[in-house]
Amino acid sequence: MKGSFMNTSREKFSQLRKGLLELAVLKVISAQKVYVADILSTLGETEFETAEGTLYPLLSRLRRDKYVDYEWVESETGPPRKYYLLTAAGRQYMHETETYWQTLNSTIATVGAKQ
Amino acid sequence: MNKVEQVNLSGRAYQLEERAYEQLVHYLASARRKLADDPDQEEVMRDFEQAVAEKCDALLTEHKNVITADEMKQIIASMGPVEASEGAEERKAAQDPVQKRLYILQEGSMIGGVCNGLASYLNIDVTVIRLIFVILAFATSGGWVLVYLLLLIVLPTAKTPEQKAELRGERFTAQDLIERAKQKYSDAHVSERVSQAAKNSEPALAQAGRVLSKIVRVLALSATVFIGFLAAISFALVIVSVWMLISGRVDMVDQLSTVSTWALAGWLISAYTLVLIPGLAVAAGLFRVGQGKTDKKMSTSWSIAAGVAWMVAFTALIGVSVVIGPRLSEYRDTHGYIRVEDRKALCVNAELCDGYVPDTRIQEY
Repeated sequence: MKGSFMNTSREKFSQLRKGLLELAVLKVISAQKVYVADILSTLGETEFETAEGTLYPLLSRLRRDKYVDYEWVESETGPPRKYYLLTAAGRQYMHETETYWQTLNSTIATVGAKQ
Repeated sequence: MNKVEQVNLSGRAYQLEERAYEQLVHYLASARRKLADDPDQEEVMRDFEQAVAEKCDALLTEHKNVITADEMKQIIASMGPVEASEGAEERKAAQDPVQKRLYILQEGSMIGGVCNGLASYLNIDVTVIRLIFVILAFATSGGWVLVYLLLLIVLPTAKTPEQKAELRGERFTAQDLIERAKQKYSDAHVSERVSQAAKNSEPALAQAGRVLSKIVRVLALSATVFIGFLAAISFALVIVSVWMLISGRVDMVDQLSTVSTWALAGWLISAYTLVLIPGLAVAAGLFRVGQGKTDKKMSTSWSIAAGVAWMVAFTALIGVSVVIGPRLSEYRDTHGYIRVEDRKALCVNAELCDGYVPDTRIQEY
């Protein structure tokens, strides 16, 4: 999966991924209440591999937009952790984004095709 | 052997090697800068600290309780680059290139704000610019003052926060001002420790700039004291002269005394005020430079009062001169020259002149 071809395309399409990262994060959160480390490890296995430096500012913005919320959960090993969950508005926004993404996909598939 | 620093991350104490500590401070400070536009900057910073703490936890054991510099390096690398997350509008704005424009900046200015604006535009200490301007003014024997005045007239003044951001070539968002203010505050906390680490790598120019500012401050303070001294002396002299004029201690010649002593006193006072006010303004400006408070502006009410007083003095001086002038020249015309007796009288008093004024210019009349 992660040959040199993948690496170069990672760089080449970073803008594409950047735009879609938000949707990917929303989808991870939509499955269950998650801790940031969970999001990072889930995304780490995909093209959307990211790190705290990107994720925390993104999550704080999504929370400002009221798409996600968090609750503090006590941890056995350290201080309480923030567990993120999707709000109703977030769920709707995620569906909208996904639908739009599919529209874009089908447009790309058909645009310029010979009649 | 390495020195160890103790830090509090998310309410727990961690021991870091000194270099690890410096790296962390540097990382957090740069993260804070990158999140300058983020309304939740503080919260995200706490998240970062907690993430670092957890990464430290994973490395620490019962027998290992210090994070080394190399480990910190890896922790920071694993945090990835800090990327501010922007809403759709901000993202659009971020794509427009920022146009830098030169403005006059009156906040913290000494005279008109030209140097101040130029300093912000070039991102150089304003003291350095002022010093260059002063040197240029002397080198061109005052010609540079005209250039300054021209710039003062031609350049627009940065009034809105947008214009001030434009001057620095910074992007302006509604949050900017608040965030930048916060930034200054928090930087002041961090900078103390960071400066220690950064001292070795400080560019020579910046160092020279700081030394220069210090020299300028000392010079400015001495100049303030000197101007204050001159103002006090001259004030006493003027008061004494006016008192002598009005109380009739100066014997005026008949013809000259047709000019009211009150008018002469008025002339003296207004001429003095005309010089005193700019002098005091310069002194006040120098004093602020001396204290290093160049970002504080003098209160506008004082500036307006001084301006009005100066205008009044100017008008009075013109007025009195117009009244006195013709009488004086009339006197000179009828006599052709000033007689020796009159010369005595023209002196403040005869004792000082010892009877005669050895001035050939007067005898030419």
